[in-house]
Amino acid sequence: MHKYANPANFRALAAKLRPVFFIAFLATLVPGLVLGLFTSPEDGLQGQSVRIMYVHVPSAWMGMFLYLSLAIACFVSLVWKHPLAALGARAIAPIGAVFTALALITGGLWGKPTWGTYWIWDGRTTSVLVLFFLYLGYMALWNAMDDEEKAGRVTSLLGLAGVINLPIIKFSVDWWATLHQPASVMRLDGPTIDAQMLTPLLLMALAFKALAVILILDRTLLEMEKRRVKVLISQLGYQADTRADTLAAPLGPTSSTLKRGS
Amino acid sequence: MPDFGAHSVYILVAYGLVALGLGTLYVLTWWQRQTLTKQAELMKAQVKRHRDTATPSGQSDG
Repeated sequence: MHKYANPANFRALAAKLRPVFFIAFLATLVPGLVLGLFTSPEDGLQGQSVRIMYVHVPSAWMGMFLYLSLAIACFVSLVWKHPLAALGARAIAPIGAVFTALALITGGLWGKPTWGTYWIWDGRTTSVLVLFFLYLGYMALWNAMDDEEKAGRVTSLLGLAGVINLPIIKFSVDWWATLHQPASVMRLDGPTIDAQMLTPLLLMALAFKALAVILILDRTLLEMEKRRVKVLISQLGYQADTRADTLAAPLGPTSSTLKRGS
Repeated sequence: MPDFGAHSVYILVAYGLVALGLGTLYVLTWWQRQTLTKQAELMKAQVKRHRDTATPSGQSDG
């Protein structure tokens, strides 16, 4: 596992995985869209607006799945101090935030024609909004600290603490009386949704998952580049200092040059 | 193309926003990576230049 902490190894792995997931993304997105928008039946109660489900539910699943991935990465970073885990968690956060925001927005657009309102403060919608704020808080905390090691530890603690929100989201529709419908796919007694609707829903969920993997790979590489630029900036700063010291004391190196050069 | 009836606007806006949101994230990530990679290459060259000029001819910088 530690061999992928080497940027060159991770780049090679990403280069291999990217096309595989890109093909998987297209292979599931196209039939998912065709079935979801054109061939699946309309709902008896909700009418055509049920088609929003094919983007709303996979976005919500991804928002939760990515937070769980972020928390696992935080745990690995805290316990085993794996350098790639902290970068991975940092890379996941904006992707999870976008998927969660899309779940909230598309939920509102689905709610208006079915519930008569874009928003209601019920258990499910509020706990998903909390998830969105957890993502924002995690990213803000990373950006607020200059010391990366300290930032990694503090954000990992926040990431782990936020996991408590995931079962609240999942069971909110069972614990409280809400407008939001109860689970119809992830149930112990099997899905209650018709196969004609379940197929495009699962295809879109797979498409979103493949896209999320591509984005995680790309954003982890981006975080590596950021770190590389930081190292180069410090090297340039060090060299500029060294040159200034040498010019100021042409007869010999100063104590600071010796100290840094040792 | 099926007629989505009175719900057309909600459906189209929902799918449009998902495409826009995920598309923007993808393009932004790609653009940031390209910019940072170019910046890193330039800085690497600058570091090398600094090293070369900091080392007088005939001497080694260790």
